[in-house]
Amino acid sequence: MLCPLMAQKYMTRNAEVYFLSDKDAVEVVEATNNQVGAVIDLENGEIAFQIQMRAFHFDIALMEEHFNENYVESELYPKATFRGSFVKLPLELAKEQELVVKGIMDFHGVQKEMEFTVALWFEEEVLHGTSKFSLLCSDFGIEIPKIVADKLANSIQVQVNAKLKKL
Amino acid sequence: MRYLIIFALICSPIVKAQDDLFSLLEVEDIPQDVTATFKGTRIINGQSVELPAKGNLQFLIEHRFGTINSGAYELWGLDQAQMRMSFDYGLTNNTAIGLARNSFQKTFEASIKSRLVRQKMNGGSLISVTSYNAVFANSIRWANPERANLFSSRLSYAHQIMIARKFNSSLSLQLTPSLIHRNLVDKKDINNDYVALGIGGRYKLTKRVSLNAEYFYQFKRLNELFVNSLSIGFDIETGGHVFQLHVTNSQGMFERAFIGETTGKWSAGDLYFGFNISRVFGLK
Repeated sequence: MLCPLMAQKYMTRNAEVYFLSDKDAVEVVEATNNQVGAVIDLENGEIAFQIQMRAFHFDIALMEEHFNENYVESELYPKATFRGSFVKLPLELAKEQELVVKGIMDFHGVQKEMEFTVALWFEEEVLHGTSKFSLLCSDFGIEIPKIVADKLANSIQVQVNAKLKKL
Repeated sequence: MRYLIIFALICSPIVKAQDDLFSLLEVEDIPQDVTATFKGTRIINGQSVELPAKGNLQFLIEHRFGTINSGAYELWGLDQAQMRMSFDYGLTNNTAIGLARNSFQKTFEASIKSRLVRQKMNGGSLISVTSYNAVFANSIRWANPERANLFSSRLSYAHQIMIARKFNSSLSLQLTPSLIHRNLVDKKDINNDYVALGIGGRYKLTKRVSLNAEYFYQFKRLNELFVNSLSIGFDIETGGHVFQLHVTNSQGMFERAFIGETTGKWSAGDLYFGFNISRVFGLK
């Protein structure tokens, strides 16, 4: 093995990120983005995600417009990224493993250190990863105006599904 | 030996692994639609390039009160009002149809609005172009019922092309060449058609409030009484509603009325306070 670094990288451009606001809120906000780029390097345990904000699709067209215009301001901040690494490197991934990832989320111009658990496993040479975590809009400078504050939730549930192929 | 050096370079730990991971994810920026050139389907009186999305029904209520200079007895115009109600439905993402009723001359209205070109970012068109075609039918009683009156005499038409550019997230400007046709005119020597050019724009003051202005220049006025329409107002957006509050010298709210038959003079204070309120319902 002359070049083990290259040999251990897994990547996809079609990871899925789905988010759902608190279900108790009057206006439930949910959207899916399935054009998310993700890379995992199993050699050094590094992980990177890149999300085009414009690729989030909503059932309600007006909600999508308001999401881009008024909340995430995708013209100013077209991408969100996460870069981090596994706290402990996985030794064996034939079976599903729960792993902790630590890193920096860069979203809406705000960088924040985050930690969450990721389930990782191999299935037919494809590296599968899923994760569920929550974000607070207020942590990332996303303002919810007073007039709709009782309708929209500050807490957002995020779900990530990725199937990465060896590079 | 040479190959070893190349391999050593490729796998060199000097290359920061993180940047390396991100460089793998880099994609070329593909052209994307520019959205929300205007908050509403109307800038103030006139149409904007926007239309309801597919499967969405927009209900719009518009009011224009009496003239502000009518004094305290009329509560500066608030005692009287002209109104317009309309339903606009998005058949596809680029075509909408509408039905409306105006209290001015008891006018019914049917329209079709189509997006022809959409402005893109990262390459593609620099402007958005939308067409608007409407037919108006007044339903007031005939002035001379004993005469042979034809239904076609009640009809008038508006044909407009809206050409807009969103320069940045705050500023959008639009040009609106307009042709109005009236089937019936008062005198033989009055032309049934007249042409006007609308100029409008918005400037966002905050994320949810914008300042809007609009002017329609008539190349040939119907007669001395009629002036060009000038309107200034604010858009206030709250979730599914857009509130538009404005001051205008036109009391009519459909194209034939405000482009060609505006009588209020800004210099004399013949101005009308008014509002538009829209609500969008998803019907999919």
